[in-house]
Amino acid sequence: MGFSKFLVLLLAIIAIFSVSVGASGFEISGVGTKAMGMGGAFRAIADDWTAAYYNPAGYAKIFDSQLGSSNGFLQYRYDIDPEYLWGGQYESGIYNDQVNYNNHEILSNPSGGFVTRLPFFGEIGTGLSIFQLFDQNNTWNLYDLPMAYNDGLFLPNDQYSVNLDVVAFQLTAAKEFMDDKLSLGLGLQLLRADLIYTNIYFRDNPYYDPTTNNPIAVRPFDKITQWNKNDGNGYGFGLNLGVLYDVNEKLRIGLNTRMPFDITIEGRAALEFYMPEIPYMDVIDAPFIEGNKIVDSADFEVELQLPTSFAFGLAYQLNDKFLVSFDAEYTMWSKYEGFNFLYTNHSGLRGTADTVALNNEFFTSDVSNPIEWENSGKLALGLLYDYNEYFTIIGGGSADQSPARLNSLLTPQFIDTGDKYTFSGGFIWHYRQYDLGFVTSYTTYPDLTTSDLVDSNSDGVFDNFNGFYTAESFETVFSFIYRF
Amino acid sequence: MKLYKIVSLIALSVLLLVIGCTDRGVNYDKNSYELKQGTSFIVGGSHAFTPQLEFQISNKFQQLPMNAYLPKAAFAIEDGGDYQPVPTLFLLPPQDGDDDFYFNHGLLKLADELISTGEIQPMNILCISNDKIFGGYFYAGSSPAAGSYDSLIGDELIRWAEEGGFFPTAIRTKAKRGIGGFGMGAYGAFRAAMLHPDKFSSVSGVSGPMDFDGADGASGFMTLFDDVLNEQGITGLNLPNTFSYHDTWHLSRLFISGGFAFSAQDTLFNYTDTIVQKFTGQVKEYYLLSSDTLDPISFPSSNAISFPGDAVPPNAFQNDVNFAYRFHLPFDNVGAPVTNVWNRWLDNNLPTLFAANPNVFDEVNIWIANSSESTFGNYNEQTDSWVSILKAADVPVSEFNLIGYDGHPANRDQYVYDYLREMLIFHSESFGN
Repeated sequence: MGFSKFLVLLLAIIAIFSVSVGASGFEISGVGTKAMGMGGAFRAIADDWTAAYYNPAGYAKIFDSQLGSSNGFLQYRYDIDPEYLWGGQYESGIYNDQVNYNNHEILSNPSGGFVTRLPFFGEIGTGLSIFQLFDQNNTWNLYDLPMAYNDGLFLPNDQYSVNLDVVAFQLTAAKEFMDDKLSLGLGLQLLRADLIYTNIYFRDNPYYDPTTNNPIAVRPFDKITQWNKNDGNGYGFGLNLGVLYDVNEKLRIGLNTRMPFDITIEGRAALEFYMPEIPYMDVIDAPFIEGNKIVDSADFEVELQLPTSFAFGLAYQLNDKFLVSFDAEYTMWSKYEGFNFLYTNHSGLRGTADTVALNNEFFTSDVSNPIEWENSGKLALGLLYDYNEYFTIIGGGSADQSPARLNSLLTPQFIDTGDKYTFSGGFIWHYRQYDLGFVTSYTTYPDLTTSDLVDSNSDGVFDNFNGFYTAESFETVFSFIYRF
Repeated sequence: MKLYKIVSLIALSVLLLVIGCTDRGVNYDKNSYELKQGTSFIVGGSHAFTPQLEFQISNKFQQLPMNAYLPKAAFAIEDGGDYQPVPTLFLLPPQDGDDDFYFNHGLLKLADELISTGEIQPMNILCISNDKIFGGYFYAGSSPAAGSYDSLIGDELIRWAEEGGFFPTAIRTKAKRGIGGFGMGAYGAFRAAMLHPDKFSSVSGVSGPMDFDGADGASGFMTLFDDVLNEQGITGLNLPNTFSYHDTWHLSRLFISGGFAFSAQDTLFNYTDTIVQKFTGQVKEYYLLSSDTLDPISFPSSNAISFPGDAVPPNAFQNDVNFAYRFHLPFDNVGAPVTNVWNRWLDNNLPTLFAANPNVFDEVNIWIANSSESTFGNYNEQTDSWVSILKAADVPVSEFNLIGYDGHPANRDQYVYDYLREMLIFHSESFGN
């Protein structure tokens, strides 16, 4: 067996058996058809404008000018069969014992950029690109108020949802050194984060007291249903550093690190409380029995903690038609601890909901959605075959280690049931100065059952969502590159 | 690479694209059933029960507050042109509970939901009130002062509800009639079922005073009186001068209600048929006289508690009576039993009533729920003891137990909603088709 075949075999074995090493979280699956089609194993190739994402050093080796764009269309197909009962036994209103789907959405992930060479410091490859670094988007309808609690109110359909986008506007510069064997690249990123986050919080009724038996706080009124919708945005900065080194004519090594800095997201939140209706208690202006929806609004602030990632890549040109590549990435997801929403400037509370201290304290409380994640890895293997001068076939796969692998704090907004495998393939059609790409990918997730409700931060609100989870996702990417 | 392989790869990619874009829809259906299956009807204040409540303390109008669930099926005309007949369930609230007790724990919506989903059949549900002044009267009828509940629940209430037109489509048979309750209401339900064996085919109870002296004959209420004295801070003091019924002293009120029910100073009706004109109506004269058959030597006089008779019924010439209601506590000021008073309580103990008629449950379905957390009044122990007695007599008992969850123990009324769901299902199944 020649070295080339040995290397291909070795990389394939590593990729297939690499689940214990494996980046997930809410990092995007990738940018561009070529990179995506090769399972994301693109850091040592980095030969088109998408190098801005994978390895900025690649811009040093792009000798024409490029204008490119890609758009990925994703569908997350998640199922939850909830087992969400207080104490494992008592009805909560969650749609238990039935399979629930996340709302049908075809999500898009557009990106674009251009590359050109400028006569500075000799000559450098430069470019400006826009792409998403992080993305999380799904919406669930999983709950209805128990009839005896209140059958006159209905929650909105986006009960549990997240729409998080972190978009990077990156200015990239790269230059060759050491007789062009070494390339260094730097990307300066302006980050824009947009967050819409909704969640149901089952809050302990503040009038609950096991010793007094207050009838307004017994089952099913022991938990008050709160639905929050937070809509805001923020700006931050990030760095994207890359290295490319040509070991020889066939083998190239790539290194890359992305360092997004934390972003403070600010916006406005709607806080809605769906109150119990206890019709036979004749108390005037008593928000905990009258069955009304109490609506508050407030400014909010939340810190979005973004992880640094480190990646290593190899690319080997087997012959004039075959190229094989391998990437390993490690992402510091332990930094991400979820969302801790801080509310100020409340407005909207009326009557005793506002004037009674206990009520006001309840309705204006901050909420948090903690997550406990671990650092995680990702391995990717890619193959490229130049069929002819017009047609290139690409394929690949990746194994992603779940950052949520060591705990059960799983929520509908962040479905991560375990280590995932992605298989992708597609083609690129070369026509004159244009490259038109098409890639589809499929990601399979392991099934997962979580069985215990956990209040990890002891704020009286359970932080996870129990049930039987299954998941898969599909993504199709179209792209074009215009070379000039 | 052959062209067909390329075409195959492209076709596979397109297939994935199509699959990945398909809409799976939503499989939940919030409105898959009609939510409204019945209505509630507050009867309170509308009907006086005479003579059952003629002399009940603090009930000048002799009225029994009631709240009812009427299923709409009872008002739906069937093919033959008749209304659909439905069974009837009588629910007794616990100590301090009123006729809204079960409705305030979700009865209306729970019944709607369970009927909608087919888990229970449509049924009338009548909820009466317990006395809220003194904590209740155990639904026992040994004293006119406390109300003649034995006659009321087992006879007059049923007659009024079924024959008086309130539940016009009620099926007037034992098989289609059930009774249940929580706490003191559980006692009342079993008492009524045993004293009126021809009336109820199903009886249910949740954690109640169902064996006053416990499994060993020395527990139950017998080990509780120290807590009562501590509740009021009067241990060792002279009871008549200090014993009170403050609404936060629930254990004290428990014994007051039992005192009225089981060891009231004997009261007698003295009826004269003189018709007198009073205002615009004709009024009969009633007199409530007191006597006491308890041997005054065998219990300390300090054990008798009085409450002023300011609630003598309006038809009586109360000014002439000037009656103060008196009752005797079964334990003295250091918690020791007063034998002949305590014996009156034991005469009303469920195991005693059962022993007098061991076949009383031969055609009755029984459901008993309990919680180890239901420690008020030692109810959990008393309930377990009652279950054991029934089982020892080969009486089938369906049991149900809840303990609650972290920070929310299933004590007293915390889980009425969850118990009630199971209780309704039990009675529905007992009613049969």
